[in-house]
Amino acid sequence: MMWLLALRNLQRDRRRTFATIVAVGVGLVAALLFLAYVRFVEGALARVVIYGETNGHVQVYRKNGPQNLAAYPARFSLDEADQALVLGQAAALPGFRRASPQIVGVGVVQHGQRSAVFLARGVDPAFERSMRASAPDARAADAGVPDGDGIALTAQMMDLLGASAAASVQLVGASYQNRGNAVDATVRAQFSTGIEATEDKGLMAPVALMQSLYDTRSVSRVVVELEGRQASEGYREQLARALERSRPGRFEVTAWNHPQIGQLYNSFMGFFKLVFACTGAVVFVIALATIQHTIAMNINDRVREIGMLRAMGFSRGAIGGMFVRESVLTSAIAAALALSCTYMLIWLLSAAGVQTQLPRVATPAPLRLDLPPALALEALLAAMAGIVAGAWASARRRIGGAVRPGRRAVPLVQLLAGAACLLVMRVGPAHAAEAAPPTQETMIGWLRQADLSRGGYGNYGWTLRIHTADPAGATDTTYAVTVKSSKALARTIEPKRYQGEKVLIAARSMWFVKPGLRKPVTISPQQRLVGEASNGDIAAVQYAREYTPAWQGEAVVDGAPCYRLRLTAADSAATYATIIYYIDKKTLLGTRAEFMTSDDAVFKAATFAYANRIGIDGKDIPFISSMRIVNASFPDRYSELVYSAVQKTATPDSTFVPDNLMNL
Amino acid sequence: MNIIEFVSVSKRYRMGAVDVIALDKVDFAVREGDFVAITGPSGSGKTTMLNLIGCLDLASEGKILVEGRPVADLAESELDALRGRTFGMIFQSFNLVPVLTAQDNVALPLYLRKLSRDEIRSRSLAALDAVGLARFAGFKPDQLSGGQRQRVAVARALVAQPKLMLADEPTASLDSANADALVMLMKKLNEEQGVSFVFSTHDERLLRHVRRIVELQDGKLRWLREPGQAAPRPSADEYRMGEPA
Repeated sequence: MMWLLALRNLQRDRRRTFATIVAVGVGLVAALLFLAYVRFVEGALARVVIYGETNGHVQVYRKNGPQNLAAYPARFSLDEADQALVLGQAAALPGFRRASPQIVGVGVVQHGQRSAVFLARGVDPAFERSMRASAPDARAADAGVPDGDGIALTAQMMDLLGASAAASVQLVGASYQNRGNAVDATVRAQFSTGIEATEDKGLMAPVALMQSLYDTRSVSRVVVELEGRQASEGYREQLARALERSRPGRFEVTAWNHPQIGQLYNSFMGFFKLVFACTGAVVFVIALATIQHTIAMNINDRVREIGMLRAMGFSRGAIGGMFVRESVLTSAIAAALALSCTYMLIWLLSAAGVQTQLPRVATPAPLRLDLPPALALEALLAAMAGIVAGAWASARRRIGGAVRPGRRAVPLVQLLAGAACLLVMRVGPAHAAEAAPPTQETMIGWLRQADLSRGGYGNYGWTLRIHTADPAGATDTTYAVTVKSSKALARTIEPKRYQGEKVLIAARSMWFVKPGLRKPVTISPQQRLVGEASNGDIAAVQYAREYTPAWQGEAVVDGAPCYRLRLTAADSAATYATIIYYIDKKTLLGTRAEFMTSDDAVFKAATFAYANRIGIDGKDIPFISSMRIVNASFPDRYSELVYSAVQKTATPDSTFVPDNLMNL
Repeated sequence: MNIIEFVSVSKRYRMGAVDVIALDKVDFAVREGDFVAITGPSGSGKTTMLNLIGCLDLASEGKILVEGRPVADLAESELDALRGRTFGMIFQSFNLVPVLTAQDNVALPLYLRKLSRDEIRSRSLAALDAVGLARFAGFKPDQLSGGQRQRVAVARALVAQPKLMLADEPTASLDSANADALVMLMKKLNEEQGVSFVFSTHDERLLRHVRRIVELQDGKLRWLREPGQAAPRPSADEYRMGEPA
């Protein structure tokens, strides 16, 4: 009877009932559509991570590899024995479909006079093709998969390089021994990384080609494709246990949604889930408020009737139950309509072939909202349960007649005013003006004096031994360096294996050659020569000519008072964009340099010693004898450059002509 | 036996900063078979008294006994049950549920009892028959006249076989013909079926039929008249428990 009464009560004020149903229904449609969109985004992002980036469902690294592979590739790579073990163990577990080793790395790709930084994936072409073919939104299996000495570049990368299919390019990178290296390659295909941020850096090549560039037989990881992604976590645990039994502490097994692997997925799903939670909460509050408002109006309209029912012996709970039943019926009708409308809209969007651009994903995807009926019902039931609970509380309170007095709220204006006062108090008075800085001419004079002791503006020769140390091991390389003003030529002397490699710096450009390359590779001054030393570091410095100084006050370095100058590159050919340079006030020698990133953070720092001497303009002046460059982020990675056999030379200009480089 | 007994009952309300005394130390009783009218000017405390009799409110002071049990000792749920089995209420504005038929309206109190659907149906039809409206069972309130609606309300109050019928200005919304018919119906129920009635009214036509009249003024019981008794009216102090001194 109470249900019948509740149903009939809905007809008392049909306009009000209709408005309530519409308000709640629209809110539920919005929530369901957003839920479907979140699921669509989730699925699409997962596909990008698993298939687009060829991460597969499960990945096997060396222990702590995901965090350290980029910084220490040699130390955290899988050697051939590791690869064989992982591939064997992976294939033996249920759910396995296929697996393959992969190598990832960075470098510079050069085409003619153009070059660009690449983020490379070295893949097994057969595996890549199979993965693409089995992706839920299967793309053409052969598109963009290179073979042999072929590579695939993204469309943006090809534009940057001005390269087309069959173009010959050169890949330049640092080997796993921290030594510069280059290989020839041919552009065979075009592909998409799937991710906007890497679309202008993407390069895909066969594993063997990338191993040749990085001078290694190791790989970064082994990726495993499974029958379905739901099994990822279970499979990961099984494989981790199996590998741990075989070689304890050797491997780390991750799934596709690991923070280091599925960064795109995790960052956006975290965001979307938060947005969904907020949106859901807002929709719920609106629906609840609408229902409660309707209940309040109904109760006000039916005060006499409520009194009559109480007089008959109906308890407040029973009367409240009647209003709750009305809410249940209202929200159930709204939910049924919302469900119908939602599926109709989903069907319409699908039928219309609407495409959408997913966040940070390079290519648009067809908008296929994903809302399983069970999930939709679950969401609606949860919303209805909340609404009914709220309705019950509201009905009980109002029928009881006593409205509990609310807690006194702190006015928003007072809160804001308080916050503003705190902010004002936090900001102290401005500091007194500092002393007047030296003139530009004075600072350039100091720089020029410091440059002289680092080989600037003269014609010299020296032997440069670079000792590089990092947790993966140490390497030693010796170069014969000839400098003339702003030009320099470095020939590798030791190790013998690398003899024949040359780096030429001239006319604000640099070239690298090694036996076997078809032509010199143009490289950037910032490209690492070895370890922490950049190619620019082997040349004589002419900071007074290449940088514009700005006064930064004074500082003490190793107990010596120094001028602190901020040097900004006068043009893009300079090795570093910004340097904080410390010049000893007494000797005018450069004692410390901090090399800055574009966001003004120190990425490496150098200190100098001047134990050599050389005569310039009849004066015997101190000359650089060593330079120690330390990585600011990884202090255990450093390079020590030792200058010996420093002498004046009379090198002809023809030595520094790129066309002669192959014949020197 | 007294169905209801008031012992020095007072009721105060707070309106803003002012305490309003709605009933002031009222002594009163209703016996089985009584047909009692509560009269007095507007604001004299008639409705308050009916609410207290019907256990819809509690006294501020004094004691109210229902069939010998103090109401103040009862829990909320016990009060609900007490109302359901002891009282039937008739309101000035009928208070019928507009979306239910006459029969469904009459059947409402029966849903509180564990009765079968058939029994509810037969008892509600019987109640409608008792007020002469059996053939209007399927009509909704807006299809009935004012007199018919009030008779449906009487049937609804009657259907649960209460010990005491309470009516708040039952004829106020009726024309004289319907008012007379309602009075005759109530009197008939009282005399033939022994149903006790307490009602508030200004209606002299109704007062002519009652055996006992209670007059309230400013919350005080001013006068209690037994059948056939005439002025001068004795003071309330001369009456205890509804008995003449």
